[in-house]
Amino acid sequence: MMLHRRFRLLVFLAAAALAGGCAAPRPQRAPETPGGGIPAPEKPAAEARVTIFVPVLVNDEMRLERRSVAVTSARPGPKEALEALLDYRIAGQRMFPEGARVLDFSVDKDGVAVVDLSPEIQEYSGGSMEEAGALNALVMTAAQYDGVKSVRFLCDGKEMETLGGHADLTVPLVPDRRLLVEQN
Amino acid sequence: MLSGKKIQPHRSIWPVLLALLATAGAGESAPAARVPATVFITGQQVAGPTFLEDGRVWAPAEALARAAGIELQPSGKEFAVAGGGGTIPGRSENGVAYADAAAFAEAAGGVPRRSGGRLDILARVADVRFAGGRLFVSCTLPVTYSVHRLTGPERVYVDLDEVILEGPGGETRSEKAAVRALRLSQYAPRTVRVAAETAGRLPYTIQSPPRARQVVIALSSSDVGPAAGAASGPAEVATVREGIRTVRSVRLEEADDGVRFIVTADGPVAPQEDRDPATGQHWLDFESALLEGEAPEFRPQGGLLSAARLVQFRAGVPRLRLVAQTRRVVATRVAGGEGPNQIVWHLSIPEGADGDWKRKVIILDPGHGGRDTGARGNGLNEKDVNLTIARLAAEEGRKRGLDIVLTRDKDVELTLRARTDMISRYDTTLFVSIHNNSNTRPNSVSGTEVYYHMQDPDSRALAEAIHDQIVAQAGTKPRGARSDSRLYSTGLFVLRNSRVPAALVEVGYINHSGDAARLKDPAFLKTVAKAIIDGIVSYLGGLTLARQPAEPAPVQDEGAGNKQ
Repeated sequence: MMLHRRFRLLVFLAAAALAGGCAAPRPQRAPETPGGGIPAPEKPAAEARVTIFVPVLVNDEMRLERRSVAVTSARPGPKEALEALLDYRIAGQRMFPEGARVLDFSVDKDGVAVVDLSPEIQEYSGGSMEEAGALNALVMTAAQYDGVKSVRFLCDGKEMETLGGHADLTVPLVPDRRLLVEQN
Repeated sequence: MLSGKKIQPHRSIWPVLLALLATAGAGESAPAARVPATVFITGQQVAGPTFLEDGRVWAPAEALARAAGIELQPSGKEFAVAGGGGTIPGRSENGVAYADAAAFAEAAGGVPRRSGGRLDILARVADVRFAGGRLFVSCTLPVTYSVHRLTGPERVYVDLDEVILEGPGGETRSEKAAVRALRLSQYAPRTVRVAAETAGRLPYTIQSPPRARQVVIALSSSDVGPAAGAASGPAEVATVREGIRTVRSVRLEEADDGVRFIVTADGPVAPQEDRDPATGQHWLDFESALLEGEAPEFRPQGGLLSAARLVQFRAGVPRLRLVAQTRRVVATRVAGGEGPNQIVWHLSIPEGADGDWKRKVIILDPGHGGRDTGARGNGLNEKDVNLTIARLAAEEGRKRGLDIVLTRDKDVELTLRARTDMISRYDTTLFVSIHNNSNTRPNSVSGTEVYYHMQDPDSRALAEAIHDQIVAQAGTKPRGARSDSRLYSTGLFVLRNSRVPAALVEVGYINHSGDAARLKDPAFLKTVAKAIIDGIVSYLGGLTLARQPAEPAPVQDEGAGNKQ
C-alpha cells in the first residue's frame, strides 16, 4: 500500500516537471532574426561579469577606478562582486589576505550594508593610504547596489575595530564619490 | 530637572507602557521614566547613550555637536548653538552633559521628526547657487548626497538625503549662462533634488566630502564664467540664487584668546581657507565676490596678529581674499554669524596652548606593534620604525621639559581603543600617533603627511605645526596637513576617538626606495623625532614662527584694475 502511494507521488512529480513546474533550467531558444529569417546558431551563455572598484594612483593621490571582472556565479550580486575584489591583484600582488571571503551580505532598513568577512581578513597589513584604497574599494563596490547608503564591516559576525590599524570600522563608512576617477 | 535621578532597570512593564504612550504622542506628560532612544542626524546615528524621558529625547551634547559639525556653547544648564537661535535644555549625569535633541535640532536649523523612541533630525536647504563654474548647495546640517546625470535636456542633479524644503521649491533660469536653469524640488519625502540644466554636456567633478554641509560640484572648466543676471524665482525659491556676491563689510574684533573677522555679504558665502606655512599667513578666499566700497584698514593691537588686509582679485571670476599675518601657531575656523549672510573667521590660541607649555602631558603613540607589522617594504617593518622615532621623540621631549607618555615602549600589539583610552588616564594635552605609509604601487609616492580629524581647528593647527617642522628640518617632500575625511567619511580611529587635539604623522613611504633609505638612517630618524617635538612645542607656544615677514607678503593680483 505504502509502495503504491510512493509510486503515485513519483508519477505526479514527473508530470509536474514535464508541465514546466520544475525549477531546473531549460535550454535557451536561439533568438530569432528580424523578419523571420534563419535563426542565429545557438551560443553558449555569456560569461557573467561584475563591476568592482579598485584603487589607482592619480597625481600621487589614491582614487578609485571601475573594473569589469569575470565571475563563475550565474547571477552575481554584491557578495560575488566583493569576493572578486578580495581576490583582485594589483601588479601581481593581492590587496587582501589569501583566503579572505565574504561570509554574509545584507542591507538593513536604513541602507546600511553589513559585510561579514571571514577571519582571514585579520591578516591584513598596510599603510594608511594602502588601507584607504582597499577599504574605499570595498565600500564603493558595495554601494553600487540598490539601497546601499553606507557599509559596515564585521569579522566572523563580530564588530571590527579596524582593518590595518588606521580606519575606524566601528561605524558605517559612506562611499566617497570624490575618489572616482570617472565621475560622469 | 531630573539630573539626580538614577536610571531604573527595566524590570517592570512601565517602561514599555511609557514607550507606547510616547509613540502615541501622549508621552509629553508621562511621569519621569526612561527608555532607550535613538537619534539620527541626517541619517547618521548619534553615538553614546540616548534616551527618552519626560517626553524628550536626550543625547550627549558633545556627540550631537560632533555629528552636526557645529559648536555648542554651554549657558548654565542650557546650551546655545554658536551663531544659531534659541536655547537648548540640558542636563548633566555622571559627568556627561546631555542636550534635548529636538531642541538642538531646531536651534541648529534642522527639523526634528520623532517616531516613538527614534528621533530623526533632517536638514533644510539654506542656499543654492552656481558661480565660477561650480554648483554650491548649502544645507543647515551635514548631509549625504549623490550626483547623477540625465539627458534631454542635459542636466546634472544632486539628491540630498534626509533633507526637506520649507516651500514647494522652484526654478531660476539664465539663457546666457553655462547653467541654464537651477531647479529645487522635494523629490521624495526626505530627499531634495537640485537639478542644474546645462547648456551642453558638461563634465562634473564632486569637490565636497561624502557628508558635507555644503555640496560643491564643479560643472565645467574654469573658463566658463558664472551665471549672472538671472531673474529671481518665486518667493518659495528665494534660496536659489546665482552670480556674484557682494561683501558689504569686514570687521575685526580682538579678545584675550584670539581675534575674529566678521564678514557680512548680500547672501550666504562659503569661503575657502588656506595658509602659507613659510610665512605664517592665513587667508580666506571668497569666490565670485566683490567688496562693496573701500577696503577697511585693520590695525590689530593684540599679540596674535601682526597685520591683516583685504585683496580684491578682478580678473576672470572675481575673488576677495582676507589675509591675516599671525605671530604664532593659531587655530582657525569659519563659523556662522548673525543670520545666513554673515560668517565669522576665528583665529585663536589653540586648545591646551595657554600658559606655560612645559610639563604638559603629551601622548606619543607608535603605530602598530606585535603581529600587526603595519606597512612592509624595502626590508622595513613599519612598527619598528614607528617605535624608534617615538622613543627618540620621547627622549627629546623630556629633555625639553614635556611630560611624555608612550602608548607602547616595546614590540607589543595594542588595540586602537587601548591607545586612545590612555588619554583619559592622564591629564593629557595632546595625542600624536607616529606612523609610516605605503600604497599599492611601490616607488610611486613619497613624502610626509600629517592627519587631523575632520575640520577640528585645534588638531589641524597641531598637524600643520608638526608637518611644517618635519618638512623644514628633515627635507621630506611636503604632502600637507590633511583632514582624515580625505581617507574615510568617519576619519581615522585614533583621531576620531581622541578627546584632546590629536595628529597622526605619516613620516614617509616605506615602499618607496628613497624614503625607505632615509628611514634606515639613524640621523634622519633623530631629526624627524626632534621636528615632531618642535612642532608640538610651537603649537604650545614655545616657539615663534621663524620666517615671519614684517608685513603680510604682497599677494599678486591676477587682474587689471585691482585696488589693494
